Amino acid sequence: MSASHAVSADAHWGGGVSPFAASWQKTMMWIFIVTDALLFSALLCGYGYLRMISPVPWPETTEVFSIPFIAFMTFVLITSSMFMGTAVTAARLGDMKKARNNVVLTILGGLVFLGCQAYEWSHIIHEGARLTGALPGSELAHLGVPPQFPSSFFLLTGFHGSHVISGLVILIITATRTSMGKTPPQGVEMAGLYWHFVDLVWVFIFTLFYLLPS
Amino acid sequence: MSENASNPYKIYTTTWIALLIITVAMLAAEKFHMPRWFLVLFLLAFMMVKAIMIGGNFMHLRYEHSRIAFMVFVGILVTSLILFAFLTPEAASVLAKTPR
Amino acid sequence: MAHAETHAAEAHGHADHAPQSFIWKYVFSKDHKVIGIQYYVTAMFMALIAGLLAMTIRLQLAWPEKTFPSLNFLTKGYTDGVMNPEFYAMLFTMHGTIMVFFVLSTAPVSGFGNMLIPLQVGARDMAFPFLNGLSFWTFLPGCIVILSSFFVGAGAAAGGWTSYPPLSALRSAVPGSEMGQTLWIIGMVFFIASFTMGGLNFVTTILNMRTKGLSMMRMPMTLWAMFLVAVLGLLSFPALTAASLMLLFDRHFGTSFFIPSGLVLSGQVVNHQGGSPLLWQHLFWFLGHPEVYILMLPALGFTSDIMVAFCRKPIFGYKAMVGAMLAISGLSFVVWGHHMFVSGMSPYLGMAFAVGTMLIAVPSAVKTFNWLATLWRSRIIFKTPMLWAMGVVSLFISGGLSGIWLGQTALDIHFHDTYFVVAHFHLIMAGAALFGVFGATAFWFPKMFGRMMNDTLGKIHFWFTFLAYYCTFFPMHYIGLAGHMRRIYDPYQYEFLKNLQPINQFITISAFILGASQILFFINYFWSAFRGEKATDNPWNAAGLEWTTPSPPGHGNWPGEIPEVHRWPFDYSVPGAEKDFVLQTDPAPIGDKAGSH
Repeated sequence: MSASHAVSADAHWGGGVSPFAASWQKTMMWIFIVTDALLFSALLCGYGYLRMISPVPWPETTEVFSIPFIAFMTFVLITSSMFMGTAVTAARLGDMKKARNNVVLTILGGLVFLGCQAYEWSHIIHEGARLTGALPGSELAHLGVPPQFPSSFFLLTGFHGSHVISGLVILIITATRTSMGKTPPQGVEMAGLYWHFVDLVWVFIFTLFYLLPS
Repeated sequence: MSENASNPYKIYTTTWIALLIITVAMLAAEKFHMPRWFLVLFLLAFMMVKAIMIGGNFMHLRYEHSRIAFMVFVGILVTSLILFAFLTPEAASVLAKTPR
Repeated sequence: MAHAETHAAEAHGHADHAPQSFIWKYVFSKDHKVIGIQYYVTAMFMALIAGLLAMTIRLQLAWPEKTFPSLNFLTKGYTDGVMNPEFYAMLFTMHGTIMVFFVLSTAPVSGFGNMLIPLQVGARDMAFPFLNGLSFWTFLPGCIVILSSFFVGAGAAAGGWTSYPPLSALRSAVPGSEMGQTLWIIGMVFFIASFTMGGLNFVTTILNMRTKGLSMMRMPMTLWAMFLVAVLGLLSFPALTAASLMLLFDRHFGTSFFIPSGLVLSGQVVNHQGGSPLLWQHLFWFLGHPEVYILMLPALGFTSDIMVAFCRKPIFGYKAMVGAMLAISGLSFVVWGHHMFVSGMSPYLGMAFAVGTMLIAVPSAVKTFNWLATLWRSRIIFKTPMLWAMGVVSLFISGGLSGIWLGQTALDIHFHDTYFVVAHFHLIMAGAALFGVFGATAFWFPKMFGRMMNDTLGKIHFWFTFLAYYCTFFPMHYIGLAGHMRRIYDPYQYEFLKNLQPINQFITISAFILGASQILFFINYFWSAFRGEKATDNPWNAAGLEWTTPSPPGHGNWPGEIPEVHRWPFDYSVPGAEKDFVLQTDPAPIGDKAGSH
């Protein structure tokens, strides 16, 4: 299914074929990914702006989070992405059993990630983080963090987490329907694109929220 | 489809390892004493490399018609950069006006 | 042939069974034509509401000293015949919100886009008909939510359609800032979700499902407009979604994304700090500016396609027209700050935005001159659609010119938040979009309903609307110049505005006439849909692909195979052709221009 680049431009733009040499489903999925990516992009720009203008100094994330733990979460998500890619190729090659197994592994990876995220949330809430800011008298308040720090943390990771959850729902449905023989390879590929997108967003959040030095 | 004929799954493990190495490198970067702007640039550059690898290999953009990659690139990156390009000077000017 | 197989496959996949029962045929339909009409009629209803809101605003501005006991039934709005000032804020807020999003983003885009795209592209339906139906049924709850905001405790949102924080972010700021503002946000989320779903369908269908021979440079201007509008929406709405999310959090979860430190409300210090109202403005207008082009581009597309049919002449400079639309779309992303010149934004950014705004005038002028060149030396047939098309050109010029004034930072310091701005956007955006919708309605009505609208009634409606429109909005330039500010409940509390009351009264009476004239349209539309003169497949002898379908097209649009396209849709008065137009699907090479388009 690779695009034959030898075909002339007319054959791609002249009507009757897709200029992307892709089905409408794939085209639409990619366009949706662009939209959703821009949503996260706007949230990240908002976070970046508030961080830049914050009169109260932004904390070093190493003082608030265990960065190795976050790195582990990143590792888990990337690994789940690897399984997903394997599933997509397996589906394309007709090996639906392997596809389903790898989708299940992806789901497990996603669940581990969510579990870690939930732990991270409870940990930071325990330290005094609230949407309104750091609870007076808490450890976080001691660090002197601006209220935008916990609020943008919860907003970014929460919105990402909601995408992980919806991704897991999609994957569970995909896995079930694949084992029933109802999902065409294209369905696995579409689910895969969404899951990889979720992973991609995390790469950006990980770097821009957790790693960028204060 | 220009997949490795012998093992079509190899690309995923290779990419996975590469991504891991890059992630570790990004974590280790702050241990080295480098100017802040250099660290930021380094992290952003490696972030883009990771994004390209995930998009290209996991999401198969490398094997699709280049127009899809172009559309995704322009759609996401250019639009985001426009927003970023105007918000940054604005933040800088607010910063300059804020008494510290 | 591969093309026939592709289309057979698509036909099988998308439009295999025509639905039988009423509910699947007309309510939860997946047919793009039904969905288009659903959107259109809903937008009509929303326009009625928003129009009534406008009339109430005008009543207040003309005679604030008078009492209107007959309006006391609006219990939230009037007390003893006098309008409550907070109600005035709700009126202009909801008038703007409903008109911009629920009427003018809907009727031309979701209404006509859905109706026309598959017909003009040569497809049996949109790429994803189920998603299309879902988009309407997401839009409708949005309408209900936004309208319901009037009936909740303290009333509808009152912070302007632009919803600037901290007014919109603090629930206790004004009455409308309570439930009303939250419902505004929720209604907008529904709307954005619906628009995104529609946009996905539009772009995918136009790119992937064009019939054989329909290259991008053979598309009618309407298709180009719909394509660009969908792209603009997909790329710019996410910024508003993100901002709305943050606003919701500020309102209900105590975050401080947009609320700065040091605010005092009713003598109490507000417990928020560190946020930036300017951030909301940037994110809002990042959408807001492409949004106004979303409203305007379809009208520009309609105008070109209608004009050629009634001039019997190809569009002048097709490539330039397409290029101009592309330029306008691209530039629309870098001019949003011209809404913020006096906001406290960095003046250097102001310079950058002003330059972009001046630049965007160039492709707009290109389009205007190309329309004039299309009209030049043509045999104009003055039917209703053509009148509306020429009305669009007129409003585009008069509304567009004031934009050049406003785009100068130095001048905008004086003009911002005055009626000069109100005049500008009503003429160019609302006017062009509205006239575009009326023109498109008159033009494609026969295709949609198989009946003609009454041309005489249409012409009367046009002239009343055209004249009343100018009488309503043109004087606003002058009162704006004189310093009449926007969003003011009683202008005459200020000495320097007292002598503007007669002008305001003139505007109000013109507005009433404008509003009343629309009754003619409603009568024409609904009467003709059931009792109009039966239409042929191609009553205007137009060359576009959509005119090769029956009027109205049945399920699947073309009864047989989907035709191939051999030329652009502008082959009118071609030397050597037997008729004064050549259908897009006509394969015969004619004259020296054989196959050149």
